[in-house]
Amino acid sequence: MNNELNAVPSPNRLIHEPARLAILTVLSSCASADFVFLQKVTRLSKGNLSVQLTNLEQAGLVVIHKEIIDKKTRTTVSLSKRGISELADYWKTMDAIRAHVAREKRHRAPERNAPRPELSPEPAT
Amino acid sequence: MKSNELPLMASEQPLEGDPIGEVAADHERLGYVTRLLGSPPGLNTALLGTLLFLVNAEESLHWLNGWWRLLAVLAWLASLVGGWRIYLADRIPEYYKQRFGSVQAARKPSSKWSAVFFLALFVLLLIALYFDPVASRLHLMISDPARQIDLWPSVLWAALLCGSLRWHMSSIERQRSYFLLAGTLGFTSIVSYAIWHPDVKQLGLWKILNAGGIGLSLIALGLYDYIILVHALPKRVAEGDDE
Repeated sequence: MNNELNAVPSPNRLIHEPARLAILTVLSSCASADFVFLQKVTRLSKGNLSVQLTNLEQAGLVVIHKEIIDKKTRTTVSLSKRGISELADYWKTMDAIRAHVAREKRHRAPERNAPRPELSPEPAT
Repeated sequence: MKSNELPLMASEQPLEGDPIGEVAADHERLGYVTRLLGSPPGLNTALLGTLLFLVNAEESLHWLNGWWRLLAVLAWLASLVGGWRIYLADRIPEYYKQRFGSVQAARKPSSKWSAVFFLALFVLLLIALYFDPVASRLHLMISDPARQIDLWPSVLWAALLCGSLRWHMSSIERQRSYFLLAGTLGFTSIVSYAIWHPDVKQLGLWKILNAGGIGLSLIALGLYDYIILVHALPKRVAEGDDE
């Protein structure tokens, strides 16, 4: 059983969190995106989005660029090189997990479909 | 984090069937919306379509008489000038930035892909040179020697439909394919109706639909993309701070 568990690859926990995965997915589809778009597409609150972005920046997965336009701060976020490779690895791991689950299902199917052994009648007392 | 803040996340859906596949599908949808915002604004396409429609449909105003015709021409001119002013002033991209935020599209295709693109364009130009006699023959085949029936809108929709088809499609891509299929059927029916009932070519409505086909197509395609963005990106998002 332990060997079976070791065979299953584990995904990167930092990326696996739904909000962070959504942010990284969006960033992987473009060169950069601004804060307003990220907030609308992920439907996160401002505070939550900034926390998630800070976490991702600290992990080196994204690059945050701030500039002031018309006395307003404009935040633009892009995926770092490390972020690109980590995200690719994450999806590879997920594919491996999916393949593993499918394999397990196939192995267990014959066991489930096998006819049950007939119970021997209880000896009459 | 509140659980109701991420309706697109598969983690909130019941874990049935293939949950990893569902996560991938939802993220395909996020990617689709991002790429859509990174491409030219749909409303700009719709505006260009409107201008094209106005230019092409002007010929169909002959059935109006007297003052009505003068009023129609004035309205036509005003719409044309107004449309161009909106287009040139870049008002639509500015509106998009305020309403949806902004996205810088992913890097342009590499030089290898650019070479492939230009080669494909060259081949298409060569095909186009041969296409005119083919088109004449095609119009003769459909009993339209005067080439009154415009086949281009149907060709455009069919090409877009073929281009959208892939083996694995997310639900949002499938939805777009259905829309393109509806457009293809719609414009093909305009053409086929005129083939079976040639008298319809005298009808004002048919003339407008036929002459302004490309414009109407661009309007429909642009509005569709805009509506997808409006649905995917709500005007107001959660204000509360739930750190």
